[in-house]
Amino acid sequence: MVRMPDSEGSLRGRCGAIVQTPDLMPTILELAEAPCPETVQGKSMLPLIKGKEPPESRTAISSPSLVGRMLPSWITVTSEVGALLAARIDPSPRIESELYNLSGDPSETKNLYGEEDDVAEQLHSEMVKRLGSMGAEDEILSHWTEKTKTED
Amino acid sequence: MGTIGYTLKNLDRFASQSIVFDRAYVASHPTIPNRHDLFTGRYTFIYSMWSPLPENEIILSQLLRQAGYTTMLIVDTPHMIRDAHYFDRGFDGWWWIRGQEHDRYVTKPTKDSTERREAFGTQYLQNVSSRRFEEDYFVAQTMTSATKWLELNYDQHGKFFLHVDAFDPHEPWDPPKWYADMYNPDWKGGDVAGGAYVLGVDRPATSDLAEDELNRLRALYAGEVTMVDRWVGKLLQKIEDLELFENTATSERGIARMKKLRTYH
Repeated sequence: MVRMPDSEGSLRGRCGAIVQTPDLMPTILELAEAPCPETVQGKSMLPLIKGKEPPESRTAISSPSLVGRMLPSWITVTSEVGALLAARIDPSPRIESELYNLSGDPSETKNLYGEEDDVAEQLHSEMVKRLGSMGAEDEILSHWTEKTKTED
Repeated sequence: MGTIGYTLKNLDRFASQSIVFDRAYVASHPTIPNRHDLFTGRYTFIYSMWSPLPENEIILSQLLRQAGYTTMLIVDTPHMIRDAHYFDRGFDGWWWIRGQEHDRYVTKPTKDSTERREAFGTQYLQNVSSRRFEEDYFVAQTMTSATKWLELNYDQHGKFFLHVDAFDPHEPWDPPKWYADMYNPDWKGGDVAGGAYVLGVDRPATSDLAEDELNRLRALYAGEVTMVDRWVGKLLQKIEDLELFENTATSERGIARMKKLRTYH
């Protein structure tokens, strides 16, 4: 939730665009009229807040650390219509891949993994693309480019 | 938020004055990786483990300070500060409200039962042993500190950045009884394990808990969320009283989810 200064006019309402935590820093910097460094990977939400930009189609990617072994490995990728939890069987056999149709099942009650292979593969390839564009090292990429193994 | 059945009158009111992002997702998680993303604007799970804030990364507070903002951090999330985690970097001032979760703070032993120790953890029970009033709960102390900082600094700075990081409604879920009673007034049982991370004690799986025990945990969580709402409301009221909404952007972000395998925040 972002409450804009009253001096900006009465900006309120809801926004359905996919946004993520790294988008907050560039948003605050833009609001503060401070320069945004090239290290920032997020994107300012200010155009969305001001309603000046129609929401582009984005995917969200969420994960615990992919380096080290502190936690089990799983990545969640969420698009406008679907969410895929991609899991590696090693080191955590407790977690299995899941797929949900967010348009028809927003509460994620029916796991479609293994039923909707096309959608799963599309989300998976989007995930790998995002990992690459975010600068993931080859070793991590190759770890996740193999098809997820839970069904083996 | 009201749609999930909690009475969140202050956050709902704030939402009605805000742009609400209905599809805002966390990137790196849990606690510290999430703050690492927030402070750097990066997807840090790609290259970083749970670790202290790296000294060579460019962070928000530092840039705002360079741009002439007075920067302040008010935090009760001990993980950001303890063991040299250094998330106070870039702030002109920072206050740490001590004692949350496993913060190594109070050493005086308590006389709590084994059942209660296994539900909440010995260190935590020591830390909260001197609580008397609702204002002694962590979110209350943290939001009160933020209102005090705003009072002390009223009209003192051309521009400022105040970052308030409250750990609640994270576990341990132990709100004052009146908040739990809003959701689960008939509970006659004792402490239910599963509402806290306790060192050395395995968290019960959801399937190992009886339905009334799960409902108890849900009520404790809902009560904790409601307490957060009340105290965030006091901070928002202070911002309004100081007429800061006129030229200040204010934002609230939280994460909440009951997962299937275990109860957690």
